[in-house]
Amino acid sequence: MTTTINIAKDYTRFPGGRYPEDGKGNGTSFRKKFLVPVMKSGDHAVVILDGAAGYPSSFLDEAFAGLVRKEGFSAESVLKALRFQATDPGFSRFIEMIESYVRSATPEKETHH
Amino acid sequence: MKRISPIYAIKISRRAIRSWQKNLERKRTKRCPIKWIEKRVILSENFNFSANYIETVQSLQEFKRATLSKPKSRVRHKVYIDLASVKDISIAGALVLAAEIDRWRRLKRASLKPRDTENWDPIVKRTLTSLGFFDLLGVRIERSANDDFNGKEVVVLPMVTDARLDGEMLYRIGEHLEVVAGVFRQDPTIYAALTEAAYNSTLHAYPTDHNYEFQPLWKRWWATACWSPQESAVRFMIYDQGVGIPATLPRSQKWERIREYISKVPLIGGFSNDASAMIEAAIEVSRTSRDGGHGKGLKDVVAPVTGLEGGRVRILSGRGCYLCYGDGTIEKSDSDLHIGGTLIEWTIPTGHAEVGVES
Repeated sequence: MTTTINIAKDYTRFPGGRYPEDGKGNGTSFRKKFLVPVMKSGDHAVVILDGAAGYPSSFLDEAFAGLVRKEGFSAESVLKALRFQATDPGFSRFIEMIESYVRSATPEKETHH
Repeated sequence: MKRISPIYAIKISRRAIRSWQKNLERKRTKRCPIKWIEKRVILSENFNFSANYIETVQSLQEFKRATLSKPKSRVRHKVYIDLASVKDISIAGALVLAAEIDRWRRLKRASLKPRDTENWDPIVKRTLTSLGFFDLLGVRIERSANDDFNGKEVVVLPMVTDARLDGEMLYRIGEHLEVVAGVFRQDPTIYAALTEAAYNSTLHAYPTDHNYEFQPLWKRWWATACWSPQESAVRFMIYDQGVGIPATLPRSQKWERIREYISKVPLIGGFSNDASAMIEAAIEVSRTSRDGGHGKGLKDVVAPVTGLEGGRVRILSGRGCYLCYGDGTIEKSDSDLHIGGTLIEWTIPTGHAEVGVES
């Protein structure tokens, strides 16, 4: 099954920061609420990046590379499960950033995914 | 005679001593009333970091010493900042000055009043009014007929400030500018740059174990933007009163790689005097870094001007100045004087905001 996650509509138009104490647009909450359930279920998801104000590195790294670093999923499984869509001008660079962060992330803890 | 226990005797003697000390203190107070001293801070005539860095920072330091230093016992300062002396003020200078006044107001709960505003230079007055300077003082300034915008001057947006990350507030600056400067379209890299700069301020700029000369407003940042029709450019700027990027680097997860980068480039002076080289190293390590975790924010800071003709980002942090142009040219300089935080300023030519965002 493929689900659609529209960050601007389902989460926030103003993403930023890593941790819950950084505000409502933080990467950790997004990862836990939207990405981890998809990864755990073994499903696929289309992540729509359009419509947001932009994506700071801290958010992208924590949300997506955090799946590898903190949740223990492999980079391959993350990039296989998530497909990114960005058609707004200037947004395609964020897909490149996400893929680069996910590929270079190394797990912080041992898990069994 | 009534017998009392030794413990009670000690207790009443201590009470008597305290009462005697209080009496002495009261008498001394009567003889030496609090002395009020008026301190007049004259700001630099040309309040501009680009054209007059030394004098501008010196007058800011004098201002901070007058307002934030602890006065001697039984002495109070009435600080008067002479803005009539200022003939020209840059927007970045106005932002830093307003931030300092905000710190003074918040920390000392000072009730501030403007004086002799009729003697202030009209353009300086208009710049400060637009920035929200008088709102900080809680004063309503009526605009005179002479104060009307002439269509050529810089349009300044009201300053925003917070001590937490508020992406929406930062986005609204650009949105406001889109309305004011009709030819400008905000692109997502500007939002990312402003948000990362504010995030760095809340996360790294104010280490708690640092020995501060002046008490900081923890995690706080100030931001504004302006449009110059004559230059056909918009500017965004953000300032914090932290320790500066060079001083925060040894705490960075990427410090070893920054040191490695610095060791490869020739330094002009001693290691600690090359603040601009340290800023450059932090940006380059952030840009080329492939590993995860923290330290990616500075890459976002330079992204809005990367490949953008006429674009420029200036980082004044600590004693260093780092300038990065759209064509990749970099200029660095160092000073003996610490700006008192980090000021980042992006210059984006209008009509080109969507060009060059794909790097």
